[in-house]
Order: sequence, then C-alpha cells, then structure tokens
Amino acid sequence: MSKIDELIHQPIRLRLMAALVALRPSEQMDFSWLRDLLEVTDGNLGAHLLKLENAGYINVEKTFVGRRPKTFLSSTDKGRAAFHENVEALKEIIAGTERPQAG
Amino acid sequence: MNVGPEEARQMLQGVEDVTSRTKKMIAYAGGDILFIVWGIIWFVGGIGTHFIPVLVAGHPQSELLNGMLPACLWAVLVAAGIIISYRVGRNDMPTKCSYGKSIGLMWWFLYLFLYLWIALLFPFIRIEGQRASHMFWTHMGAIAATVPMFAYVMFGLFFDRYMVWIGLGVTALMMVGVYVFEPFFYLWMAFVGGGALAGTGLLIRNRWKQP
Repeated sequence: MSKIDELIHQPIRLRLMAALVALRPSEQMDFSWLRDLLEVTDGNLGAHLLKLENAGYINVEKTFVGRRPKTFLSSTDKGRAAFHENVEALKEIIAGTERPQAG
Repeated sequence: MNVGPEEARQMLQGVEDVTSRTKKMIAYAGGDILFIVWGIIWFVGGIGTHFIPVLVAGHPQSELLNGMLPACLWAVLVAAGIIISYRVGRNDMPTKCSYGKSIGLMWWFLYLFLYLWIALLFPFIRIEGQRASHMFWTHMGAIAATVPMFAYVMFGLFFDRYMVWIGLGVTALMMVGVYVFEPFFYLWMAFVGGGALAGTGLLIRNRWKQP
C-alpha cells in the first residue's frame, strides 16, 4: 500500500514535481520556463521550491549564463521516489472506489 | 491524510497534464526561434543567389568564380545563423542538459566532414560552360541545404520524432527543386525551403502551452 506524501500532496507542488520528473535525470529545468509551465508567480514558485529543496526532493542550482542570472532545477532520486509513491497512492484510492463491492 | 477519490482523480489529471506539456515544451521550445531564423536565412540566401549578377564573365575560370559571390553571401548568413543559434541554445532553452556541448560539436564535425568530402572530390569535377556551372552550383546548394536536414533526421530518431518528418519533408522539397525546377532552384529554396522552415517555427511556437 503506497502512502500519500503530505509535502508533495499539494496541487502546485505535485505538478512541479511532475514537470521535473518528466525530465531525464541528467537534465535541469530553467526556473522561468517552469514558472510559465505551471502558470504561477515567481514568489509562489520560489516558496514551493524552498519546501521541496529543504526536504531533499529537488536540487536548485543558481548560476550565470553570460551576464544573466539563471536558476536551474532538477529532481533528486529521493524526490522521484516520493513522487512515484504519491502517484501510486492516488491510483490506489481511485482503484479502491472502482472495485466492485463484495457481497 | 484523508484523500477522496474525486480529489485523487483531479490530482492525477494535473500530473498527466503537466507531464504532457513538459514533454512538448522540451520538444518544441527554442526550436521555434531556430526554425524561423534559418528559414529567413534560406530565404535571403536563396533570393540573393538567384539574383546576384554574373560579375566575372570572360575570366578563364568564370564558371567557377561565378559561384564565389553567392558563396560569400552564404558565408555571412550562415555565420550569423550560427551565432544566433548558439545564443538561443545557451540562453533561451527550457532545459540544460549534459549533452548540449556535444550537439554543438556534432554540427561542427558534420560540416567539417562535408567540406572534407567535397575537397576530396574537387579534383575530379569538370565544369565546362554556363549550363554546367549553373548545375554545379545548384547541386552544391542542394547538398548544403540537405546536410542540416540529415542532422534533423538523426536528432529526431534519438530525441523528438517530429524533426524526422521536417528533415525528410524539406529534403523531398529540395529534390523537387533540383530535378523539376532546376533553373529556379534558389528561388524554390528561398520560398519553399525557407518558407517550410519558418512556417514550422511559427506552427510550433507556443504549441507546448496547449494542453
């Protein structure tokens, strides 16, 4: 039985993790593209990223490309495992309601 | 934590939506600008090559030299295209991946080998007369235009399948230009080839944002 992860089980954080998990493990996503993808503000996204980073679910890399500051994000192995377990838990909840009742 | 089936269904729907849009974003974003830029380069280069006057007629090597002016035009355009592509690849892509530098190197090696092969064949090329000269430069143009299409097909096989179709489609159009509209090949290249590239860029622009 998979468990719901309370940290990930929040609409924006779950979608944020889905976006990062969709990348190859060697890839990192640019902050501004992720913000546009999720249709959130800079501040809102930053707050969610901080929580996920503190939990060890994502890596945040701040760097300069030319003269422009850039932030790149990727999911950690721990984050990927937590995301997949959360998705499995959601599927089990749905499957439980669709199962025919015995008796 | 208590989660009901309806909430679970909505959360999973959100996950599927973002996963799908992320894959589209990686496949299309950035590519739209590059397709438009290279479409414009093909357009300007094709028009220029078709209309550049013959300035060196009468020279002993005029048939060969006639191609040098368009070659200079293309050198300037391609150099501009490479600089823009490099900047887009570095600054405006949604993801940073470990093989980004390898892709850049692949382009350099592709053209290095192309010029090597042409140099190896050059001693055996005989160009006699205006007609042969025109055909020679038409075929050279078609080779130069289809080399990046070959790279698109290879990229597409490993990464994003839509690039296979763009590569094959534009190559097919170039072959029609060479064998059916040969006297107007560079005009064909400008409008059909350049138009196809720029049109693809416009078509995929913001496509990743759609659910």
